[in-house]
Amino acid sequence: MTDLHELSIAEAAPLIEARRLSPVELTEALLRRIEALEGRLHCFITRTPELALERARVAEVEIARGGWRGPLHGIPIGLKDIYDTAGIRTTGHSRHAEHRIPKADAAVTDRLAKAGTVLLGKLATHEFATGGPSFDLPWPPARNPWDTERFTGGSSSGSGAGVAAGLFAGAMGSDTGGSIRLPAAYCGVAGIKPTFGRVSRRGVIPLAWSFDSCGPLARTVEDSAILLQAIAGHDPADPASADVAVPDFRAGLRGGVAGLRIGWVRHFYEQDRPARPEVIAAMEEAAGVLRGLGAHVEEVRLPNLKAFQACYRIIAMTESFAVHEPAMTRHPAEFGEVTRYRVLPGAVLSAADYVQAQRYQRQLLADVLEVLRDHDAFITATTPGPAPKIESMRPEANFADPPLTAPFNVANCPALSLCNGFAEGLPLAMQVAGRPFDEALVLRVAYAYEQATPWHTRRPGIDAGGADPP
Amino acid sequence: MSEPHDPTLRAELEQLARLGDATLSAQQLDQLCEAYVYLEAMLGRIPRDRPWQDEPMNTFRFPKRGDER
Repeated sequence: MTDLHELSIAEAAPLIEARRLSPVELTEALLRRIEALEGRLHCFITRTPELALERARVAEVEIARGGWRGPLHGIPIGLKDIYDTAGIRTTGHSRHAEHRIPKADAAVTDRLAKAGTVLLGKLATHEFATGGPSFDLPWPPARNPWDTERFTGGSSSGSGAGVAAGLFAGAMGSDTGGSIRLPAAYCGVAGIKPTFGRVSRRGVIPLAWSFDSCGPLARTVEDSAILLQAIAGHDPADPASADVAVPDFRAGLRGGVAGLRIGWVRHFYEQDRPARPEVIAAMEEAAGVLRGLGAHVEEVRLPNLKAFQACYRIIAMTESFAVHEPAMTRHPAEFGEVTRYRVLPGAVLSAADYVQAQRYQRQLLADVLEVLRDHDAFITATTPGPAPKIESMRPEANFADPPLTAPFNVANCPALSLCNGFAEGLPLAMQVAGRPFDEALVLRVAYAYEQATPWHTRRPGIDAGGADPP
Repeated sequence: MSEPHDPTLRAELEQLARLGDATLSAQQLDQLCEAYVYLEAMLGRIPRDRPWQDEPMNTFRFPKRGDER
């Protein structure tokens, strides 16, 4: 059998169902791998090995009695440490919540537990999903398994790094302006930001209420579909949760792209935020692959990336300051420097600034939907290059450079990032975005591309050793 | 890391921060001034002279007929 940490969820699930693979055996293998690699990767805030083994044993007994719940039963996962877990500390990677132990599970935590998953622990993020990478917090930032001197992307940094390193096959992240797709890109895995309203945010530490979306990271598109299936659905306790039907995401994966009209948003990474030549070349090749599969790929124009950035930042900064106002105004020094840099400016924005940005959001949404009337999906790059050195990261980068991911938060499109090449031995990535609530089509396009290319089969050389992070 | 900040801007930001109940150290105020340069550029990209009918994204929407359960 393949090394157990190499198994995808889709590969492990039938083995577990057929009782050819024990959830306990799988969990023990991953716990050993975590023990061996965590000192170099710093993916975890809190590890829960005893709980994991207990849940794995329960799963094994249930399955032996004929009670297999579905493809996540007995599958070990990790949760970004902003998802509340009853009785297990949930810190937001912040000194402010270092000893915070929630009384109730987040909706996503609960749904994943009901699906039979095995929780390995709580994962590193940026402080409150915004301030990172930081070296002045109680825990270090996660490291990229492709090169531990490189940034993982954020803020779902432990989720991306851990999935790429084979510490777990799937993890939960959250995406307000790119925080699922950026670590997915830099770590060479798949990550989907669902439509705002598709997945309940109840019990998740907020960053910005207008944009916060919960979603999975996994090594394959199919695993992303399996995880999304488990967490999607209406929750009356989340005021932004949409009461819409949830399709069978996995069943639609193999529909192919023949005849689909795909809008290629080249100006984002060629003009608005010029990318490295390798990124441009990888996108050209990706467009060619999709054309080869029968899709009509044609260039489209959306508003300038900087327009989306301005709209996103003004709204997100105002809301994140509101989230943290009492602590940020009374004890600013207790936050990490990067968090202060990114949240504190919200204190000097006016109410009119916020409302004008929200009026602009409605216009930008209309502009994007207009293009989507004639197109089924978009493709564009996820980042302008491979992961930078972590030491080179500066707090102002998030303000100076418009992210390629934020447009799909502003326009509330589901968007998935997946690997579409390598440069300097590091992953590059492409986004596939679609109409609101059409995650099924986004997954279908991404799956078709993934199956036609070899990128998702490459693994980082973390097992071969390498320098420990300082 | 940064050039000295415009004293007028610094004083204005300090006053605004105080209005928001934030008491900042000199270093924190420096950081705020540095970040504000980017913030100002972003604010400049938000159209403000819009038709009165253009509503914000979060305007409450009543359910449509048939939506009730």
